[in-house]
Amino acid sequence: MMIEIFERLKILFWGVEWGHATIYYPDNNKDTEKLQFKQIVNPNISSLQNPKDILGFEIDGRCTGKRKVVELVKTFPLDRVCALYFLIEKKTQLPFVMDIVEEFSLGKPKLYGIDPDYFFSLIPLNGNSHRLVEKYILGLKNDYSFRGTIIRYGKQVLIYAGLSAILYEGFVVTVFRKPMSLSSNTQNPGLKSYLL
Amino acid sequence: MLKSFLLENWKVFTESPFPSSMEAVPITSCTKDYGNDVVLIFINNYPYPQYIMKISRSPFYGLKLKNEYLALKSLQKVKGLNYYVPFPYYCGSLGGNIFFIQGGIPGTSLWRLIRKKKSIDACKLLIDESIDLLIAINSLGFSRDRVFSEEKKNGHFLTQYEEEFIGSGLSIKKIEELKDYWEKFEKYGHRFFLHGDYWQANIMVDERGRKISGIIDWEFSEESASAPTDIIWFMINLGYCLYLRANPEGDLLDSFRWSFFTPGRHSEMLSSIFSKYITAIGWKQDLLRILLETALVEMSVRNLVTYGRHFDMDKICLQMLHYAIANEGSICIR
Repeated sequence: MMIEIFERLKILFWGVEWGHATIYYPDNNKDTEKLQFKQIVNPNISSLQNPKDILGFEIDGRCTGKRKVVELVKTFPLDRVCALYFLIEKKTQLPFVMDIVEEFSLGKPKLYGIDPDYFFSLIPLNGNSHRLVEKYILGLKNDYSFRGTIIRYGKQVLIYAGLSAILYEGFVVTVFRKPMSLSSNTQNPGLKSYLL
Repeated sequence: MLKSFLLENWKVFTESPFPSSMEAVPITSCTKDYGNDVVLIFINNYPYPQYIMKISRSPFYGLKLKNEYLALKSLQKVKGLNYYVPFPYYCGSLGGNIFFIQGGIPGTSLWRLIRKKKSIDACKLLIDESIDLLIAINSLGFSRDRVFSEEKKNGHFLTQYEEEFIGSGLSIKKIEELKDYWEKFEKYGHRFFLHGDYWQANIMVDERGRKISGIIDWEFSEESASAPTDIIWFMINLGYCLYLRANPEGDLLDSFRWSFFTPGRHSEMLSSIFSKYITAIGWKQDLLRILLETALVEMSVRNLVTYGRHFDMDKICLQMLHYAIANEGSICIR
């Protein structure tokens, strides 16, 4: 499950030279504050000499392992981290996550809503034009049944009323370090151009 | 990260000034490893994505994007058609994965419009315009750099994958007949520029639903094909789209039986489309059955030839091929 979620999220880290992703998640089968973890190796980055790490946390609705998350972020060697992400269930968990993110000031955090209806869309929610984007993604849905039409209108009303948070099945907060640049292409031989 | 990567390299990618605002929205329409990750790029509060970034999920399947880039670059030089083709801004690779940034085309897809409209008559002009465009595309005669192997276009895969076809239940006699068709097409001397995935979801219609605004997804395009198979794929999917209006849970195989082998208004519509197309390219009307079987053969091994493995659609095309062969006498598209 963790790998599946990460496989979908990793597009957000495009342009980041990451070698490993370490993802912490609660053990849903046990009533414990301990966190499990998985490590994923980026198969496309073997040519880089010093690949960085992505640190990810999946936080359930009860904020299981809250203290452990803070402890882990504090103790992880941040010079090795190029991106940090949190997957949360509810928007009410946002202040907790933002506190951690701001404390370690890696960069400006970005919030995405996970739209379950159109395949798998990650809609940026803290930009100026997020309503336009939400409206467009909503229009991509292919269900033209009576039920589908009603749902579509309902969603549109929620977007205009500023209540779109209830439409998402989860949220992602990301924060990262400076990405690759074409100007530093000589240091990043992985970036090749086919512009002819 | 994604957005910063785009902003950092914006001038190189698009040769245009920095946007005052930008949102990058990742969507995934196919979670298989052969699919692409797609990023819709909204800039300056425009209600449609003005740029589309496609990223191959696996380095192995990046060829499709390179092929699309080369096709779009060639098509930009064709006056009249370049208006309908996304502008190819930049193609590159990072960490082994190919990415491609192209212009977005506003509007909705013809597929959605046909599904949405109460009457199909409202879409007839658009379907006609799609056929006119297809005739113009298929009639293009130029060559360009290739990224796929030669085998894909000349039909030798019928020999190469003969055992596979026999294993699926196709008779040796039928395979020999299909090989003969290919040879005849080759000798015919006509050459076609194919879109490779010309169906209603890849045909964009303007916001008011009045005219075609563009054709997208040129990943499987090829030049100098000997058989114009795009029209078959268009007709199969039009039949499917019409079928779904009445049977929302229906599948492609059912719709194929319904639209090609059951007489009715829909088969008359497909007949008139085929008639218009085949007359325009100067072929004979009675070639439908041959073209249908040829196209289904090609589509049932297309991914195997290109990538060495079957994808889901191959199996469905093979089933359609078997049905078409078993019911050759009852095809009702004339």
